[in-house]
Amino acid sequence: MDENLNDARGELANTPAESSNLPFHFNGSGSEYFRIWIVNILLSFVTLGIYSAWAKVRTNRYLYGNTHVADGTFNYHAKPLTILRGRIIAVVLLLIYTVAIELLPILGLLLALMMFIAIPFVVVRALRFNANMSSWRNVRFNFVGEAGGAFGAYIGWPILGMFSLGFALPFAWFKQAEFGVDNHQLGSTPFKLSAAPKDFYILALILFVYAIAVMTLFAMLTSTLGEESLVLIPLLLLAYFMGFSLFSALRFQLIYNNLQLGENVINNKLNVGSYLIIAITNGFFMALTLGLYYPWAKIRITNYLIESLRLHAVNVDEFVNEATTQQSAFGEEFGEAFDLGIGV
Amino acid sequence: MNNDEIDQDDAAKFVAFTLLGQFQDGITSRSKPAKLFVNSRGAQLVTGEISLHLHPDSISISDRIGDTPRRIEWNSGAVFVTDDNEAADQLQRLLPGGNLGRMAFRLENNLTLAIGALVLVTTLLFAVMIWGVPAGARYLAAKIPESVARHAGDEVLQSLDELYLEPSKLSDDRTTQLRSYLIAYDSFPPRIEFRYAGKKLGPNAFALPGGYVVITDELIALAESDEEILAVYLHEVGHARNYHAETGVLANSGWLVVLTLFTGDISGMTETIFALPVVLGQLAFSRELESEADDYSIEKLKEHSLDPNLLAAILERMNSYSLHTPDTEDQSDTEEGKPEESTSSATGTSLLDYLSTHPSTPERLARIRQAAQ
Repeated sequence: MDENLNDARGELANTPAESSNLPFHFNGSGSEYFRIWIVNILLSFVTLGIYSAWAKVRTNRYLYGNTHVADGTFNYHAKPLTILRGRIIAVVLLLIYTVAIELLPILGLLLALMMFIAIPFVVVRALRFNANMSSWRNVRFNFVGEAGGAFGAYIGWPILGMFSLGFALPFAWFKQAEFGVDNHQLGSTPFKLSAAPKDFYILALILFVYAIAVMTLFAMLTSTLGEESLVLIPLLLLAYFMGFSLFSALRFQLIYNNLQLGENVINNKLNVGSYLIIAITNGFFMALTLGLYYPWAKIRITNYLIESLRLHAVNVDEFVNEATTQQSAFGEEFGEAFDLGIGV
Repeated sequence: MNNDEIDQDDAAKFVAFTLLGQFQDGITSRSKPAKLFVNSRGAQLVTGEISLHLHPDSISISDRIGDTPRRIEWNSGAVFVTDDNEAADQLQRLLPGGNLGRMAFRLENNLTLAIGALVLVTTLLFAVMIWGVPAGARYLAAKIPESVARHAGDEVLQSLDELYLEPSKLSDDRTTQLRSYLIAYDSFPPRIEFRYAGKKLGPNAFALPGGYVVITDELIALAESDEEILAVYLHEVGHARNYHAETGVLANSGWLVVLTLFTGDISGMTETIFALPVVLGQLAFSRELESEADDYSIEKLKEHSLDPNLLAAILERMNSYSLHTPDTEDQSDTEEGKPEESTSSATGTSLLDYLSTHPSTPERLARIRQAAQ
């Protein structure tokens, strides 16, 4: 045994030298994820939704645990009971809200107003919870944004964007991305978004040109088809879906090409065309299978996004873990129940 | 160097297996290749620099999920991460707990079970959406305190008044006479309201929460006799007596809550798979409520020796009104009194039938006429 241990020490002494340009890898598989997904749904059903908290943890642990970079794996740490507690409170609130808005519209209106005020707080708590529950190489992420910043990013700037006939909207996107990125940390090391507002204006311009092209095309088709124009509706939906996917792809490209973590730089080799093909075929198969294709769709798109990422590592050994406090999952679950669509 | 004293020779006898992996101390992001020797007394972690004995009580191991790396953690917050799932399973068996995770993995790892789960899920989903939620809503609707239901009815009528309805243009004499005529046959709903609806709603009648029955001037004009108005009124009383309006509200909330509960971790487009049973459940349920109200009207008419064909006659006329007036909404509507999409089709093919909130008018007429014989 002595020899055995000494051998082991000898073998393990040399840490392999790190190359500076490291690809991200994703190892999830569609069939494996399908089995996890369907068992999650089944058990959530037979336990009247209670298992959904465990389901969420298993799903996230599957997706995080299959993501690697620089010999390090991501991990999701949330405890199912924490999720369950937050989820129960959120569902009760949702129930009260929906019944109130149907039976007593005035009270419903008041609740809606209260919710609106609560959004920045909810967003911040949700982001912090998700960050603290995520780690890479056993160092936790952190989110240090405050409700004031969230108010600007999620309410103030978007409202201004609308009042300016959309001219300030790309700037609102920029503010949102900046709020999301700059407030995240790995341990004590902050992320930094190096993109400028002008990049978001270019993104908006591309979308604008796309929208004009689609509208012109459909106007022409409508005038030639006349009364038969109804057949264009599915095509119009497809065009809308493509526009949405285009936005997602460009936004991903923009953010992950301008991302710094300390001295390290993250960028990506995403190809917008390939992304669109995956998104559209995913949508097609989802429709064809009434949604059963979802696990494969999720894995395909996640795989493509993650494998497009590169880490230009200067030093990835010195991120220092920070003590994180116990937190409730209420913000995260509230945001999900009310579909606030919090994301970075 | 934190080497707990153990008798190396003794330990050697019990070494059962070895895991290869990475050691991460949880202080910095440094990751070091490491080996974990497991014996019956615990585990020995060895890296290039340290050798650490871990007592079984101090370590925990993460559940197996697919082929993702396993984490063996101990009190200090440090972790040993390994890709060797088989050996990690072996280690987990030596430690307490982890039963739920093992069961979940066993289910997930079995394709037959997964397909069985799929069939079961689909069946359950349809059962809950099509029968469970409506049954629960019916049960609860009857339990709503009357004052709450009335208040809700007030609110709904108020917003309808603002959006679609105007005060009735009938004379007071006529409304007083009609009211007492109708109540003589069925006094259940405490409140009968007359309204002028204009082109959009046209001849219409609906039941609101709290026992409101609203009848439009246009319906009264369309009726060839007061008995026809009575037939429609009784249909609405059928809704009111069975708390259909309240049931509709509760069922809508119920579907939403069930959907949220069961799709908690399944976001985005997957909801299409869940939306189908909800849509089918909603449609089937509101058709069921309509038939129930028709049945009530037929029964009451017969009870008073009146011809159920009265209901058929007025329904038919309401239907042709809505067909000849494009852009017109439906006839007798319940639920929250919201005018919903037009439903009746003159031909009433079976597929469209499935997708309508009311049974098609020909189908309803046939039922009523059959009952009249």
